[in-house]
Amino acid sequence: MAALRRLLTLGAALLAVAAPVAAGETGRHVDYLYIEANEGGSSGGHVALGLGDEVFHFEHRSPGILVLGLDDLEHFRYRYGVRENRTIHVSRIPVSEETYGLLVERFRQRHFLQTRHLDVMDGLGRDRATLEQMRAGALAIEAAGLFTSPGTPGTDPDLAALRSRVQAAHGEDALDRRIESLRARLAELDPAALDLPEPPSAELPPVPSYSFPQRYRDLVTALAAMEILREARPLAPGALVASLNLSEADAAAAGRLREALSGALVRLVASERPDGGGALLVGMARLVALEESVRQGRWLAVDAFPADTATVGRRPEAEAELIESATAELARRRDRLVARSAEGEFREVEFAAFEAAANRLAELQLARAEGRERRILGASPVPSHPARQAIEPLDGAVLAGALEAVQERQEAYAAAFKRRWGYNLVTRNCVSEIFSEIDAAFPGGAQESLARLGGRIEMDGSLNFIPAVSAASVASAYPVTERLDLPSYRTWRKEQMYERENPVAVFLRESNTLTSTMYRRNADDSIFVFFTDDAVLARPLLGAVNLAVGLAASAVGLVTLPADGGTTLWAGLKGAVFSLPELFFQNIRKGSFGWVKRDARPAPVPRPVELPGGG
Amino acid sequence: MRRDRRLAVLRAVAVLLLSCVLALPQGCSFSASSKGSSDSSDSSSDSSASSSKSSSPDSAEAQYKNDVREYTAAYVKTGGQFDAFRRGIGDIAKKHNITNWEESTVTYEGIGQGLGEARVSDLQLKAYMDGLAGQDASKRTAMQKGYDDKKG
Repeated sequence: MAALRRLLTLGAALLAVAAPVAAGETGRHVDYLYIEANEGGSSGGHVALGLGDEVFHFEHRSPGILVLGLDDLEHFRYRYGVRENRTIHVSRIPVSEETYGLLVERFRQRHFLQTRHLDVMDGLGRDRATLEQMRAGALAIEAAGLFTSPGTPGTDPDLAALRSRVQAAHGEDALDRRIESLRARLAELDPAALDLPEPPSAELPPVPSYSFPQRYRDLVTALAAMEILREARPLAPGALVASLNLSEADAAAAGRLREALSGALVRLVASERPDGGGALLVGMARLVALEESVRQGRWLAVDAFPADTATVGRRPEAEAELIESATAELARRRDRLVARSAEGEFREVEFAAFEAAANRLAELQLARAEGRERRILGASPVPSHPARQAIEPLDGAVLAGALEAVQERQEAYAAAFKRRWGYNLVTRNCVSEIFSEIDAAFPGGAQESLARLGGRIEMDGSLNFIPAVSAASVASAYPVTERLDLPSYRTWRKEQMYERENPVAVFLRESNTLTSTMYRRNADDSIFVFFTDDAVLARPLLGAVNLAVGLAASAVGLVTLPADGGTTLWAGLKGAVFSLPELFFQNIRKGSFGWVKRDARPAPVPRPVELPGGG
Repeated sequence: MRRDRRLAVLRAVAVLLLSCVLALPQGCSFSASSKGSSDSSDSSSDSSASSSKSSSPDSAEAQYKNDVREYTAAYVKTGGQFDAFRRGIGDIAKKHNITNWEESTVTYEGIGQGLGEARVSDLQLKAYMDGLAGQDASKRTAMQKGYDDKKG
């Protein structure tokens, strides 16, 4: 049987040898991307695989795991080529439609698998936090903090109107019945029946589980939401942020959105979905925001900043540009929301994007006016301002046992994940995993991979684990038909300047951090004076100056240590360390850019590089 | 070509040795985040002009549908409690800034696609429809459409 399978596999591989020939006709290709090194997170360079508009790349993450990231090309280029200022070299390999499909499927599967396991680990972390809060007698309920505390006098007229609609649709005592039912379900929950996810094994995604802490939290959240609606409790002060004035079209759109959202919330109250409480809380806050927008004649958005939001230091020189960009973004989001509202639906994705844009602009303006650090709105800006909700006391010993079990499972899960996908600088890194996954994409493994792609590189016993070496190996081992460059942001900007200005003046001015017109020191960068990525011959000399500056900054950092907590010392030391390779004609550091406005970014169009030998 | 490779090897060895000596053995990209690359753009000083993967709502909805499809197809394979499956849809939706996922036909289309991809029978599809869409015609239609798209 095994022999037959091997024979079939070999047959498939031999048939697939014809694939590279057919590839040219289909126009499909695989891009091997080598991203030059820079200081910071990737001093050894980085690699990725481009499949159409999708870019797959393995990232080393804490605690020592290797995770497959998926980006679109534009975002990838912005992150690495613009913000991190690294040139990306592309080797293009033609493949057949079938080979392309198999590769896409394999990489997407791997991405999905890891994402699911990481989600489960996040869930275990939340379970642990929930149990710790339960032991302390109160849960922090997300989005409940958008409303006033229980017992605060006053009712909100818009929520009172929603309550009436709910009663008209589901019965006068609908909310009372719902609350009773939730309380009964809460009382029935058994803390001993934890239902925790099993640690990862083999190549299977985790079986969905619904743990006791999660059920408990969901029920308490739903209970809080129903009680807020029953009492028509007003929004807490500061729950809304003011934004653009309403035009006539905006007002009509806000009215339509309000109507659609109100209908959706009436249905949600009767829904049996397990996690409806959070949606109801956020929805009610948004409904009030829309009603208030119409009344006040200006858009009001729910405050979307979480309580523990991160902040970034002030950059006064960039604030005007940031505000201009955020204003344009908000206008775009508003126009789209208004246009799509005509469909009569409450499209939450559109609304959330508008809400986030309004929050970002308001925060930029407020932080500037108050001269303080700016809060960062994350990638998932669903309003979540929490409030503590007291819970019925539960058996302390049972909760302690549950907490211990969750902690153990958390550790076991993390350990199993690391065993399966642990990072190793040499044996399992961003290079080795790409080629391992390429082989695994085909039933015939390495042999079929070689046949289908027309080449293959070995990892064992070679230096191919080094990104730069792997790129050179790919160029020689595979039938690369095109080599392309996506220049770093600084290179691209300099080329533009060369076209408009005196090249010598540009070269001298942009060669260093003191007189450069495009580079503004980024807090993540080390302290240095000269850029050496484009100065090969003078590199040791400029590196010596950089080294001296780094050491001097370190000495200053020692003095300022009590005042700045070691920021200058660390930047100086890094400056000295990354200057050392420059003494030997090697460059790692290139500087980075904290922010580049959208219309000043290079288009993600690669530039052809001549193949050696005219190929 | 061979000369290119030799130079790259020499260069890399030099950099590697120096890096080792300097205790900087960080090959590949290191991300401090445990939540993916999008965080790295949002933790920048520019979140106002976010360039995240789902910068356009259409693209965001497509990504959401895709995630729901993959999740559903995997659930058919692994099994598990149905309320845990529904709870998982809620988690995916939240990652895409959707709280009220029951109201979005995109959710049902994604579920239908996942069921089609997993090649469930028409009878199983109907059971999922009853459990998730109830008698809502638009939700059932969206599930059927997704199923037909993938089952072919």
